[in-house]
Amino acid sequence: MESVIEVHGLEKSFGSTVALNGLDLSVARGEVHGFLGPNGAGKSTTIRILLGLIRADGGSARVLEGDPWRDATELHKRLAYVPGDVALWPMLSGGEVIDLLGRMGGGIDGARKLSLIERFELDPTKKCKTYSKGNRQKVALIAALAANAELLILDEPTSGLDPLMEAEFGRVIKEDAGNGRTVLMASHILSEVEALCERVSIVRTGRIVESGTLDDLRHLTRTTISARLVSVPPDLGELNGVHDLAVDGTTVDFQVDQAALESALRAITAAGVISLVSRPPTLEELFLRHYQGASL
Amino acid sequence: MNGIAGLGQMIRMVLRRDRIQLPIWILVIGMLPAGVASAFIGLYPTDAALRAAAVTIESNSAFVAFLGPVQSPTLGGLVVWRIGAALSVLVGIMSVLLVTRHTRAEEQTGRRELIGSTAIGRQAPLAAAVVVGLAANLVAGLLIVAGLLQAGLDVGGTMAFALAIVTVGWLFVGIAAFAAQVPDSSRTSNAVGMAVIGASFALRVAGDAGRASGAEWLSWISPIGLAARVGAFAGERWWPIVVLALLAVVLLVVSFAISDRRDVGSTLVPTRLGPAEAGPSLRSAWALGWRLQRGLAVTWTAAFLVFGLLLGAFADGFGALMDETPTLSDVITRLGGSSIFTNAYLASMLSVASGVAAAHGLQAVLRLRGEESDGHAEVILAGSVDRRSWVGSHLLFGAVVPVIDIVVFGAAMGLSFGISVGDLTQVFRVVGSALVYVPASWVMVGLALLVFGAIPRRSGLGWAALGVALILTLLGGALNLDQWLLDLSPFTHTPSLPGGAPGLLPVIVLLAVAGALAGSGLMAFGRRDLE
Repeated sequence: MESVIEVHGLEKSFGSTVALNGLDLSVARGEVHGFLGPNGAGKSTTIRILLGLIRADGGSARVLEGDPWRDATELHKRLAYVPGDVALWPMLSGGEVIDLLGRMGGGIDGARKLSLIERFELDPTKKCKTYSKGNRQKVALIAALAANAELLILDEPTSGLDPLMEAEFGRVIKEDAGNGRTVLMASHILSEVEALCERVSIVRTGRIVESGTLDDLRHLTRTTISARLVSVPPDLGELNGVHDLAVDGTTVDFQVDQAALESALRAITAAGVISLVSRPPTLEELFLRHYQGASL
Repeated sequence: MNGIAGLGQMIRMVLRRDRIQLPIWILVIGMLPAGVASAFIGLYPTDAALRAAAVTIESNSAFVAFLGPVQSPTLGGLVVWRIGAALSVLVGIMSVLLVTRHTRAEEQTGRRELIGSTAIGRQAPLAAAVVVGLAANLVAGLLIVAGLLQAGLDVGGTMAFALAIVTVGWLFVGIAAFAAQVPDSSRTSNAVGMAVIGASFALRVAGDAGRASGAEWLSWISPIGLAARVGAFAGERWWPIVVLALLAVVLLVVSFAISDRRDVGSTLVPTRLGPAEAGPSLRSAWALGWRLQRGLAVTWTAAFLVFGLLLGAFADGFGALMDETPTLSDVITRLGGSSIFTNAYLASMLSVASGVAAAHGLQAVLRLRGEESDGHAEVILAGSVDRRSWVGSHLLFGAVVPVIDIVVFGAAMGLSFGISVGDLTQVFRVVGSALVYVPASWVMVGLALLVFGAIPRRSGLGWAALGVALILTLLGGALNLDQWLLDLSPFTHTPSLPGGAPGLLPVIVLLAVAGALAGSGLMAFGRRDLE
């Protein structure tokens, strides 16, 4: 699989603050990749290195097979970016900014721009200083989504958007993925990542702690089981790999590690199952597991 | 009136934020008069020496135009003459920057909204900025009084001088408070304030230069001219002080009335809609640079044009004024006729213009820092724009606008002077002289770019450097400073044309220094992280 972004052992410090501490990241062509982590974990720093806006202290980074620092201008013709904090020129209209950003990058698809302006319900004649945060976000999104770019780098793309616009954004990204565009999407909104991304990388204090497809990640973690039983097996709580057991009469709720799933199921079927619901771990549970107890 | 609820807290916040720059401003303004007084005591130890100095000054048209007439041939009179105009400009700049920083700039960034959501009264933020502004001028005035009394000057003159300076400062607090209500960006508010300061200074100069041709009234309508009319140490007149204070009160009352009625963040000038699509020319960082800089450039150029025409018209009036003074005409004839006064006048006007043009150049080039801290640079450089083009798109203006400003000013001055003496070739002579004033302002622009490239968070140092350079060149002599200190300012090295010796070497050295500074700045920015 061809790699669009390839990062190894990336390091970056700002004074005495270590922002990145050996970060690895790999994004394959055509995938929508979720880049997850809480505030201050290093997502934006990584993105700014990938854009050649700041220089890494150590490690290597390749974007579209180029050096993000040295080949910045060439690479930027092939990618589009939505910053985490969208700041626009107060005296320019939204329409002017969209066109300008497109022209300063690798060009813009006029028809697509018009359709996106309509879909996101943006008034492009307003001066940027009069836009709300959500509308500024739309300007940056439309400019990036309408750009003739093979790679989109989006930092918290839906911040400030209302739920309707968030859903519209999701549809556009899915269409894009269908058209073979690669998307790197930094976010801490897990439901959004879960809905849009095939693969995710979870970053914590400047390192990737987990990376893979959502399915892969789920295998690494616990399944939640709720069951009504004929009787509760007395040793269920003692089984290796069973966690957070809650017993309410003959109803049990627990989480079980992937490896212990079989023995846990044996135990409850032996006790007689009336009904059973099993749920794969949500991304949120996955995420919380990595951060629980961690000093952020 | 609960409109000013929380005023104390707001004042503490203003003081806390300005804890470094405000004391520097107040100290510089407060100490300068005593510094000049002690230098003059050394230079002119006797009454006779003071009188001789006053006569020499009166015979120099450039001095009189630039600083006004000496109103009394005493130590106090000379100190007031030498430093009065400069202090008026300094308190003006301090007041305008201070008030704008804590009013319109706060609204523009949205911090005012956050304050507005707390239990702080509607008028408290403006009131806090105004109170601190008035107090800062007052404290500077007290320092002036202390310094001049220490130097042995009499109480009446000292009080009159300090009060004149304080009330000019207050008037500019009022002007800035008003300017903060009207436009919607702090840049515009500051520009309005600075324009009023510039106009006040130029009107005063024109009034003093045009005394012979009955244009003295120009001086009277200028706050700075009005303050000079107090005539400290020369039989003080107190009413100009009262007029200045009353004007300040009127402006403040109007500002508070507007501020009480208008919405937070709103402006008296409504925002128009823009085009839905960018025009075909808006397609690069260069085009964006032009778009961001053009308004400022046109305004400055227009100001240079107007003041050039105004100041040129009186260049000849000077010769006439000199010829009427019998004791002086002898001296003048010996020195080579009245044209040397006209030349000295033109040269000193060009010199000041080059300082102001450098400020415009600095404003243009430091737009880079503004674009960076506003987050705009990130968006541009994430496009297919290399760092040199982006820096170039603003550096170009930093380099070109001083040239345009100085040339337009020179041409305008040459034109109106040429018309008054019936010799239009003066235009070429003055423009030719004007060009040698450009390299010094380029040095300041280059230095600002280096600071931006190497230590972006300290970009304000560019302005500090310009302030120091101008104070050294304009006041260094009066403070009796060592030559090596004066030599630190690039403006010191500009040949004094027309009339002076046209030295090519200093011009070449200044050009080389400017180039080296700008080059290193560009290189430093190429290597550093964007913030």
